[in-house]
Formats: sequence, C-alpha cells, structure tokens
Amino acid sequence: MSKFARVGNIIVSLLTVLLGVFLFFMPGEGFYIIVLILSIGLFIAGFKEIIYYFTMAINMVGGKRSFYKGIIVLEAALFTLSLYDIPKIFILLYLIGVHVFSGTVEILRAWESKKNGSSFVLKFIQGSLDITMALCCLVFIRNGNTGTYIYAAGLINSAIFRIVSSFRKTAIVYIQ
Amino acid sequence: MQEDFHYYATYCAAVLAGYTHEESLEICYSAQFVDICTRTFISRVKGPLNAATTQLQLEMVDADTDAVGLQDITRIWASFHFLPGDLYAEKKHCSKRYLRKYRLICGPNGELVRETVRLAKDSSMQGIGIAMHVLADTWAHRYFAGTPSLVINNTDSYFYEIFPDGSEKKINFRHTTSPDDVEKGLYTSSIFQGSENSIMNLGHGRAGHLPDYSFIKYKYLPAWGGYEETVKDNPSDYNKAFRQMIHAMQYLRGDIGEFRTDYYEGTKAELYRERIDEIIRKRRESAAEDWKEFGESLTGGKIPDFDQEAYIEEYLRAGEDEKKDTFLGRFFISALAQKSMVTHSIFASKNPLAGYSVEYKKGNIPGIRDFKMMVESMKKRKGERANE
Repeated sequence: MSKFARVGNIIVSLLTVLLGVFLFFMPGEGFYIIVLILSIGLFIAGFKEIIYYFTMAINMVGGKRSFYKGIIVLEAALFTLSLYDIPKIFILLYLIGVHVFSGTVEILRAWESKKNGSSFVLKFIQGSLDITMALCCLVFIRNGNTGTYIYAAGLINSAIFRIVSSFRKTAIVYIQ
Repeated sequence: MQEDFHYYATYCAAVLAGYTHEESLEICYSAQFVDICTRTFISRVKGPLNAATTQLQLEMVDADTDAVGLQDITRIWASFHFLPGDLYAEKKHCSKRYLRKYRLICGPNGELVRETVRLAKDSSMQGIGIAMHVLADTWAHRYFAGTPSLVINNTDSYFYEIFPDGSEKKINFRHTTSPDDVEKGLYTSSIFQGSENSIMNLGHGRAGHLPDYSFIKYKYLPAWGGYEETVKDNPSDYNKAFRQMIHAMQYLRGDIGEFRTDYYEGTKAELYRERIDEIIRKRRESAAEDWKEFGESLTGGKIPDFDQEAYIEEYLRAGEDEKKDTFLGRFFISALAQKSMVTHSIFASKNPLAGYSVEYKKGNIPGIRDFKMMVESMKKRKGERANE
C-alpha cells in the first residue's frame, strides 16, 4: 500500500469512528447523515469508474467491466440517496444489508488468501465481526435505540480493523 | 528472460561474435547482473543508488504508486527490461493518458535498441553486457510495458499453448506460490488487480513466466490488442535474439561498420543452427545446463556458476578515485548511461511517465549526484579518443 493510500485509509477510518461516536449521541438524526455520506461516496466512486472507462479501459480487452461497475455503483448511490425520506427502521435495514455484504466479501477474500498461501486470519475475523454485528442489529432492531448503538459499535470496530490493515505488509504472488 | 539466456546464452553469443573466453565471461556476467543490481544490493556496497537496474519483490511491495513513485519504477523497468519499441506509436480514438502508456510497450528492432547498442560502443565489457540484456529482453518481453498499467499489461482467460504438431491446449493459470510444472503444463501468474497503477500490473506478471520459457509458443489477447489474437512464438524470438546479439557484438568489436535492426547474424550461428535450435526448443524451465555445455564446447574454457558476490570485495577495497575502474564501478557507470538515455528519450517524446530529464549542471544537486561519475567518465573517454 502506498503512503498516500495508507494516509487516506487512516483518515477515512478516523472519520468513521467520529460517525460512530456521533450515532451514540444522536441516534435519531445520525442515520440520515450516514446515508448522505454513503451516497456521496458512492457517487464519487461511480463517476471515477465511468471516467476511467472512457479515458482508459475503453481500449482494453474486457474493459467494459469498468463501465458496468461504474453504473452499478452509481445506481447504488442513487438508491442510497432515495432512502433519505423513509422511516429510520428501513435505513437501518439497508445499512445492515450493506454490512452483511461487506462482511461476506471479507470472508471470501480471507478464503482466497488462504488458498494463495497468504495470511487470512485478520480478514476472516473482520468479516465475521461485521456479519455478527449486523445480525445483532437485526435482532434488536425494534428495541428502541439498541439496534442503533450496536450499529455504531460495528462502525467503530470496522474503522479500527481498517487502521490495523493499513500498517500490514502482505505477501503477493509477483512474477518478476 | 532468465539466467539461462542472459548468462550462458550471452556467453555463447559473445564467443561466436569473436570475444575471448575472459571477455565473454565479463560480458555475460554483466548481462545477468542486470537482474541482480537492486538498490538493496547497491546500498550494501555503498554505491550510487540510481544505478539500480531492477527491483526486489520487497522493494516493489514498498514502492509508492503516486506519480513520482511510478516514474521511478518506469525508469528502471523501461530502461533495462521492457525497452519501448516505438515511442511515437499512434493509436486512434484514445486519450493522451492511454497513448502515453501504449507508447511504452516493449518491442524489438526499435530506435531505442539501436541507441542502446550505440551507447555500448567503445564502452566497457560491462556496458556491452547491459546492452545485451536489454536487447534480449526486447524479444522475450515484447507486448508488455515497463510501467504499472492495467490497460496495457492485463490479459484475460484466453490463453492457449500451441504445440509443435499444431495442436492447442488451454492454459489455466494458478495464483499460488507453487513453481511451474512445464511437463504437466501448470503455470502460475499474478492475480487480477483492478487498480490501473497497481504494482501487480507491471510487466508480464499476468502471463506468468511464459515469456521467459524459450520452448513455448502460445496465443492470447493482450489488453491493448483490440481483441485480436497475438501469437508469441518464443522459439523463433529467442533464435532471433541470439543472432541479433552476435550481430550487435560484432559491431561493438568493430568487425562490422553498422548495427542494423531487423538483421540476424547468419554465418556463425548457422554453423550451430541445429544445436541452438535443440537447446531453445527443449521443454523445461531452464536451459542453463545445455547453454553452458554449448558455451564450454566453443572455447574449451569453464563457465563458472553465476556468483553475485564475485566483485563486491574489489569494489569495497578500492579507494574513492579507483572505484570507477572496478568491475562494479564500470557496471554502475554503464547502467547510469543506459538509464539516462532511455529516460531522456521518453521525456523527449513528450511522455512524462519516466519523469523529467534534467541537463546536468555543475554542482552537487541532489538526485543527479550519482550521474556525475558517469559524466566525468564520458568526458574522460571523449578526451582519450580525441588524443588518439
């Protein structure tokens, strides 16, 4: 990971921790801000991918993958933004779904790392915790603000793992 | 290419070009040393770090992939292992950003190869060795670029080995740390990395070690190829590389007046055509043993195993003024010259991917201090030639 990427990762993680803390103190309003930030992030990622497709990947064999990825991410951004105007419980369900998805991806990545002979434990733990917290949220979703607090704890937990990952060196299969 | 070609085959080519056993050993050692001379190695001997001709895997992992980091990587890999075939190549309907990377695709018989060989004229044996390494790699590593780029260096699952009888077999790459098994047709390549400037997208990693096996012929779809099948005929390419090395070294010895690209020495190599063909086409990971046997049969001399520590002591014991006349000192100077030439050529073609080319100014300017010894050496040689 380059120094730039490392610093970027840490900044994003610290902001996530702040968001988590914010949710603890303002469980009612915090979700709408999270949805807004998430959708802005997805818009930027989607546009970046589309621009990359038209400037570079359009000339590459299999480059359409970038275009499809960009479109899918933009649609996710629009959908996320549309959640701004609905009851909190549905936003929480959506965010739980996002965390279950990312937790599953982490576990799949851990499995792939294991197959390639790389370290996989940290990724696996992170993925499992993501899914566990999401499920706990679901269990307590009707229980006042408990579901919200569990979600906030999950955010802080993910952020800490991200900071730890930023400092790790990973072995790669590199052909020289 | 690997040690079998850079070390042993280069020795054979040098002998056939007319060099003595001792001269050929210096040349082939230098050719192989291009794959060893990392910043880590140079810092051990307290040499000029800018003379690095390759990077370790760990150095790659730690390398920055911001703009400056990418320029540093490109300077090394494009100068010594993926010499661009045509810095002014045209491609329709593409962005400037894409075109810059497209123009760094490695290929043989380009203007830069001619310049590389010219640069080695009247230089040391070490300079000749470096030039032979660069020349040989233009054949093996053609179609890939010495800069991290997904859109240039990526490949997809369309990969087929073509056997001598014309039959084909699909190659399914593994992505593990297990070594290749060429008998069973099991090959490893690097995994797909979606980031344009990822280190994983440098060079021919996505094709695994296939470009480095002289026996293999295969077809695939290079990322830049517009879905047109590209056939990589290594036996033919390695044969041409060998003959072109002989031709280049005949020019460097002064036996012929001009080095021509698109010309492959046909007299000396023809005497041993069958033997050379057999070595190249034999199916195995390394042809070192056969090249070594061939080389020793040419001169009757012994070719020692490559030892990267061989010249360290000489360099460390030499005084500051004497270092440039040691084996490693001469190698470093030639490496700096090659890197300067290629970086400047890329910069002059209005391509910023290898960074800026700065005219040397007197004084201890950080970053080009290393090149001072190269400039002084070139001045000295110019003066000696004028006196002659």
